[in-house]
Amino acid sequence: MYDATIVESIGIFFAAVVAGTFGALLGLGGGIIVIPVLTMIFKVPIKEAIAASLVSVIATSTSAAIVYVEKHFVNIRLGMTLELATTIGALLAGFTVVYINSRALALLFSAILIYTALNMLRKKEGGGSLDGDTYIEVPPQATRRELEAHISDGRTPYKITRMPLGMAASFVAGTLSGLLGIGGGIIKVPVMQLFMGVPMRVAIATSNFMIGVTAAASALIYYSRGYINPLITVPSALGVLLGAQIGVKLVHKVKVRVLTQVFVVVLIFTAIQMIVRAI
Amino acid sequence: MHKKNKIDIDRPIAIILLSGVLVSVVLLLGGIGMSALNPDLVEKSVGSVGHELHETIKLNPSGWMNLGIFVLILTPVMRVIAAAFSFAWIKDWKYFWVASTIFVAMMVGFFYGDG
Repeated sequence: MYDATIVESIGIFFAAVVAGTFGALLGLGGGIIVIPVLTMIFKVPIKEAIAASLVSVIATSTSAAIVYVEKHFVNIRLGMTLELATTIGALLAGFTVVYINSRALALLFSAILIYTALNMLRKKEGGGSLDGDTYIEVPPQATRRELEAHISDGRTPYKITRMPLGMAASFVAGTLSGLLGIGGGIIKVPVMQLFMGVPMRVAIATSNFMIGVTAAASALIYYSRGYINPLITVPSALGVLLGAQIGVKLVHKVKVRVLTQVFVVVLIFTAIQMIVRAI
Repeated sequence: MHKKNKIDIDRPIAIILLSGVLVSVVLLLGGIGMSALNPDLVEKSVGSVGHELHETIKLNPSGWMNLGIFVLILTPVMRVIAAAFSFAWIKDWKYFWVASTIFVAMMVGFFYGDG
């Protein structure tokens, strides 16, 4: 196990604060930023970094989910249904990660960094605000009269479609979460919004709600296998948690579009670095 | 969805999530505080849950931190249990079984995850 000194643990904490802040500003999970920082700057073995990241992801997603649930943005039934698939994927990954070469994990993570960078360029701002419309799921057979009744009550109705596709995507997201220590939201949110008919705000809230269970399913396996190193995990989790709170406060004060463009460059550069080191 | 059902489910879930995060943060910060006084007692791995509970009672900083990590991981699990009970309360048996299956799958991972 990685033997961090007190100075290194403090360094990991501050790095995690920065990671959490940028994650909240840019709509990224902490894992995408925490893992490259731990492996490339602090030279933490990747599986310990993944374990620390999973716990950090649980901390931040759970904190955010509290707010989303209380404001009724989460479609809990949809989230629970998709969690069936994501939990199985996370378990599969958790059981098999011990057999997977660290280089392969690094290369896969690099691919995810590039995918995230491209996704950030495509993404429009907004959608995550907690103010504005309220939404209500309606059954596929809802009549026009029922839809109009919801609208006149101030609620935007939506119908969920393509559930099998959503389950398949959740399985993939769960597998990636277990293998790479990320939350999986970069897959779940676009699938829910673009293919399942879920409004963006509900998709973000429901994905956030699910991420805790996804990460916990793998984290339980990492815990029982002894991959969790408290010297790394504790400062990471607390740092990302604090950083996320700071990021939320700053989101209306910084030019997120400019920050996004800069961060895309950083992500691609980091991905190339990880590929070069893995090869 | 009926609004009454939605309110019945959301509240206990939010309470469980908030409680889990608060308890884990208290344990983690307490462990860090104690480790400042006894840095030699800090370990770089986690033991069994029973071992960490025992160490926490003995005011071992590693016990506090490791138990805090475990409580944080356990919070989403408790959320699933709360959801199962909530669905059972409103007699939504389909989603009671969905939540129960998720809980069983997570427990399989925990108890058989060490290979």
